[in-house]
Amino acid sequence: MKRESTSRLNITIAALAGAIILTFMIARTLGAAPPDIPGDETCLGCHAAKSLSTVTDKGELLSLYVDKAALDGSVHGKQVGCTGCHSDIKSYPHPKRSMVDRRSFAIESYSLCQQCHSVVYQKALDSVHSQVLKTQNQNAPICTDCHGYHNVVKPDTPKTRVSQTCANCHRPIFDNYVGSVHGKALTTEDNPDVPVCTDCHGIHNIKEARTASFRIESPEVCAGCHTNKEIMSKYNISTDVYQTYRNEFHGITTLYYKVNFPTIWCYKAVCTDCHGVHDIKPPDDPSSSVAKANLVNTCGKCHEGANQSFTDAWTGHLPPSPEKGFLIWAAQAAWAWFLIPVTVVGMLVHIGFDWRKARQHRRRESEDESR
Amino acid sequence: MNRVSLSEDVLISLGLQDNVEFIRFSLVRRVEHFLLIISFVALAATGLPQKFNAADWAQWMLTAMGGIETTRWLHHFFAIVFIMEGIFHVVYAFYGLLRRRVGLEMLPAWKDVRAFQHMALYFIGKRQAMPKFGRYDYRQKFEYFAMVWGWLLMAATGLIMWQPTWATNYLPGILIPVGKMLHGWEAVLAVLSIVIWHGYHVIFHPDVFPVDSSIFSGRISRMRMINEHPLEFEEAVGRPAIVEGLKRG
Repeated sequence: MKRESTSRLNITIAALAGAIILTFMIARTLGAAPPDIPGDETCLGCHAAKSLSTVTDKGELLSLYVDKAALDGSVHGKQVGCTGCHSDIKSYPHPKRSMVDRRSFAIESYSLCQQCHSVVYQKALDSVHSQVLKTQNQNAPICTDCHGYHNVVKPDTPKTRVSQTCANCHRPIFDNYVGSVHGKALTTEDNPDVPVCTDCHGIHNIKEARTASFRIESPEVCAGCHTNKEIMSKYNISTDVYQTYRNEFHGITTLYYKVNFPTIWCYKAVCTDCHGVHDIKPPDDPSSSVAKANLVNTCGKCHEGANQSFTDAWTGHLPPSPEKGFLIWAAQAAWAWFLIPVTVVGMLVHIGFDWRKARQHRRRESEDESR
Repeated sequence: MNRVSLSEDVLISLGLQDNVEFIRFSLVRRVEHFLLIISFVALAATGLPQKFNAADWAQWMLTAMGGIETTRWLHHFFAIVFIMEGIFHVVYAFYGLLRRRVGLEMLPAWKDVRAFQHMALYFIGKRQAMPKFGRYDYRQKFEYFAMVWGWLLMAATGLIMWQPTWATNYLPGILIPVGKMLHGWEAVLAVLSIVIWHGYHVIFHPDVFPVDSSIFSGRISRMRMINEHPLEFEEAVGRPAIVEGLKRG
């Protein structure tokens, strides 16, 4: 009886405490919220007008029009209201903001993105774009330059959109890329296997590509796809290309730099030195820098005086086998599988017998002496 | 091992007391061997980390030697020492032959095959004594000609790799990767041979341990001369040695 009443009392106290806490929480939430958050309708009351604009300090016209249809069609759509991004604007008239010119206004505004996208925002701060923006050039892209603002859509649907976005600024490189085996497959078949800009250069933390470290890491960038059997088997491309590179002189030297001195410029060839960078062609394309007929030129870039015979030294990334590179394969087979084992075993057998006889002889000699 | 000797009083009457030593290697030969040690060890130390560069120890060694370019430079430098020593050796050998300072004892001969057969039978207990050797036994000739062969192959393939654009003016380009393959594996074979074969016979063999110093001092003891080179000893002394090997079959 007593126990029962105690437990009922406990429940009552817990319920009461819970109610009090809940009340405080609700009151706090209500109290913290501004009493009159303007809804999107309120904003669009003014901003739907195409003529709405202001003038910057430098006299540029800055449109304040918001295309409602584009906004509704964007990834943010109706889920993120105007004040979701423009959290600094809570009332009308709006707080006064400096507007030196359109670009600096955009740069001041793009930090709003990090309210939700803090991880990629931080990554972007490590990018070459961000560094250029801070130190040299206000034209370096910020979030909204690549993604848009009111009309933000998925950046990689279709995949070509990625490269076209980069092309807005990097047009000559894009034109170069479009002619490559990768670019052609992307733009004509929307092939999802080929790399777009960001696959090699990174997405938000895009690195400066002209550094020693980018160069020395680049074979691994290519190897990312070119050692993937699943992708390469579709196009009948060998996945031995990386390992065969690592086994020969260029690859040995570049591996050494990669492991020990990644920030020192290594002149020995990486993939792109022979195959091209953005304009990579398949080796059976006559215009490819690694087409048989063009090898004298390509090798000659570094190997002054290289002739046709010199280029025959290159066995086309194929591991030696009885069918391809027979002599190389035979040399390896003769030494590694025959000459060395036979010699070593023969020497060891001879030495073993000799050792045994010498020991026997010694023992007998010492017995003779002790007799 | 059979022991071949003249009786002690005969030896003494010939002026060959127990402490008498024979000259085995001239100064030139000793210097040659010294150059070989230096260049061979240096070539192996700078070459093998290149062949096995993917391994951690190889990367460590490459850095310890001043980086891969410096390592290659050192390899080329000692290759020149090695090649020049080989050329000198051949030239000096021909000079020696012309002046009749050296004979043709080093060349392989039928007696080496016979001696090997004899040795094999001795090993399995079918012979009581070892074959009698002259100035060079078949084990030494095997090693010497392995060295000659290795010198030719390593120099040829090495030069092709060192100057590929020059080499391909005269040779088909496929010889560069073939040469690289041969160079690397021949290096492994050479190092294994030196460590196993040479190492055993000049260091770990019970009769010479801890080291056969005759290539450094140029001298060999009377006892080892009698035991290991009885035919040469007989020729030098001018009397046949008495075989007392039966006692120690």
